[in-house]
Amino acid sequence: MEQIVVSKLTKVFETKIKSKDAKGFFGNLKTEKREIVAVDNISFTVNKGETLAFIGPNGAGKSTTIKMLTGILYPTSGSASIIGINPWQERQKLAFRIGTVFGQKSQLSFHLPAEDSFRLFARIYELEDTEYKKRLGELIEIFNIEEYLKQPLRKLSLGQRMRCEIVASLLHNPEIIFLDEPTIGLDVVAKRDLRDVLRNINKEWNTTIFLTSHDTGDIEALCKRTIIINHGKMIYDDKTLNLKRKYITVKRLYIRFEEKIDDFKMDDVTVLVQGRYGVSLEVNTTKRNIRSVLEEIIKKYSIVDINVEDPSLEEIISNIYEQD
Amino acid sequence: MNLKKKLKKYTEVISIAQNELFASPSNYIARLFIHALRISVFGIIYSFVFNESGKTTIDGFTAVNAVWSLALVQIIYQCSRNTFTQIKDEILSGQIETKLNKPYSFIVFSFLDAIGQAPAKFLGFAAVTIAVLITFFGVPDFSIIQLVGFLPLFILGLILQTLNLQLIALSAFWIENPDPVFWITSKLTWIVNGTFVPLAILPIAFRTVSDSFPLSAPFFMGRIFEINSISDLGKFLLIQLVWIMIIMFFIRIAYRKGITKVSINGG
Repeated sequence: MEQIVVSKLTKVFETKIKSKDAKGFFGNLKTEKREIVAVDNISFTVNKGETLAFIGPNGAGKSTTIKMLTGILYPTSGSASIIGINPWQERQKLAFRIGTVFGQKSQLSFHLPAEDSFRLFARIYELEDTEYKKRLGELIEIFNIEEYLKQPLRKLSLGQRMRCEIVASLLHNPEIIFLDEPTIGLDVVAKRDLRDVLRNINKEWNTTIFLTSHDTGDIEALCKRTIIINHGKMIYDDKTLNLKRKYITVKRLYIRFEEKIDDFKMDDVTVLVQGRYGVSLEVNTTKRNIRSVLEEIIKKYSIVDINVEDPSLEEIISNIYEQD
Repeated sequence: MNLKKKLKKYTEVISIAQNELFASPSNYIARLFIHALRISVFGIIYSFVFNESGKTTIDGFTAVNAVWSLALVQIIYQCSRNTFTQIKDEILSGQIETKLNKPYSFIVFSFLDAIGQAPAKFLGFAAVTIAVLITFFGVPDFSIIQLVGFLPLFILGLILQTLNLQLIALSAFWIENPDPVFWITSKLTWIVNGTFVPLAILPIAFRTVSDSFPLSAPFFMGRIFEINSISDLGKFLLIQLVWIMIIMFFIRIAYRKGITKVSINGG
C-alpha cells in the first residue's frame, strides 16, 4: 500500500544577491534576484512500513523535500500525497497522522520537563487521557526515559533530549515518522540505542520511517531502501544493499608477508601503503578479477595474513556525490 | 466533543506558557523590582513637576492621577513583553517548522502562547503597582465606573496589543529584519499612548488623534480618569473591539500570504 506518492515535485527559492555592477556606498543597495532550484522534478513512492533513507550532500534538497512532504513548505510545482492527503493544502489534517523530528530544532519547551511538553502534545493531538497515559507508558519503556522525565529539558544530554523528541513525535501513534538528521551530534552509544528503538518501532508498529541523515551508520542500521538526491535531482532509488553491489568497483586487500618486501608491484593494482612486511592494495574490479590478484600473490609470495574489504558505505556515497 | 478537545488544546497552551514564566522565577521577580523602580521614578518626576508649577491640577488632573495613569500603561507593556521577539525569531530562525507540523493554527497558538503568561504577570505587576503607588503617592478618587471599566479595558487592551505585535512580527515573512519596523512603531506608540506624558494633560486635538490610532487603543487603561460615564467607557471599549477585529483580519491575510513564503534552510 502506497503511503507517500510524490510526483514531479519542484521547489525554487528566490533569493536576493548583491548586484554585479554594484559600486560605491549606494551600490550595496542594488540587488538582483536569483533563483535556486532546491528540489528539481522528483518523483517516488513509499509503501507502508518501509524504512527509507533519503540522503544527499549539504544543500542537495533533502530537508526541503521533507518540509514539503510535511506541509511546512509550499512547492513551486508538482504534487504529493501523504496517506491520501495533500500536505500543504491540509496541513493540520495530515499532522494528526504523521510525526516529525528535526535533529537541529527542538519541538519541546527548553525550560520545562519533557513530561509537561508531552502533556501539551497529547492535547494538541487531541488524545483522550487514558489513550495518552497508555501510549506514554509504552514509549517510556521503549525509550527508557523514566528517570529524566521530570527534569527540565535544558538539563538533559543531547542523546536524552533526542529520545524525548522522538517520544513526543510518536505520542499520537503516527503512521509515518519523518526524521531529519535525528542522530546529529550524538555519541556512538546514543546513536546505536536510538537506531535500535527506531528499528523496534518499525517492526512492532509497522510505522513507516522516512529518514534523512549524513550518517551512513543510520542508513545501514535502519533503512532497507535508499534514495540519493543531489543538486535537487534523484540519482539513486533502490535497496540499500544494492547500493554496495552496484557501486563497489574496488576491493581493498591488506596483506602481511613472511619475508621483507621492498617494492611490491602488480598490474592493474594500486599500492595504497607499502610497509616492510605488508602492503595495502586497491584492486579495480572492473579491470581485474579479485581472484586472479589473490592467486598471483599467493603464488609469488609467502603470506602470513590476508584481508579483503569493501569500501565503506560512506566512501561509496561520497563517490556517487562526486561523480554526479 | 471536537470543540471540547480544541478548547483543551488551546487552554493547555496557556497553561504551558504560565509554567514557562515560573520556570525562571528570579527573572520574574527581577522584572517586578524594575517595574517598581520605574513607576517610582515616574511618580517622583510628576510630583516634582506639579509642585514646581505651583498647580495641584492640570485640566482637572492631579499628580496622583498622572502617576497612576502612567503606571497602568506600564502594566500592559509588561504583560505583552517578548511577543514580537518570540514570533519574529521563530520565523527568521526556522523554528516555525516545529509549529507548522502540528495540528493547530500557528497564529492562534502564538497568540495564546504570548497572552498565556498575562494573568500571572498581571497579578504580579498590578500588586506591585498598587503597593508602590498607595505607599508613596496615595490613592486617587476612583469613581465606580472607573473601577468597573478597569478590567475590560485591560483585557481588550492586552488582546489588541498582542495582536498588534503579532502583526508586526509577521512582517518577518517578507523582510529579513523587522526590528526597525518594531522600533519605529514602538516609539510611535510611546508618543501616542501616554507612556511618558499622560494624554489627559495634553491638548484635546492630540487626544482625538490618539483615540483613533490602533497603537494607542491598547493603552486606554491609562486614560481611566477620563471615563466619567458608561458612554465614555463604551466608546473606549468599542474602539478597542473594532481595532481587534481589523487587526485580526490583517493578521489572517498576512499569515495566509506569508506562509507560502516560508524559507527554511536545511541540513
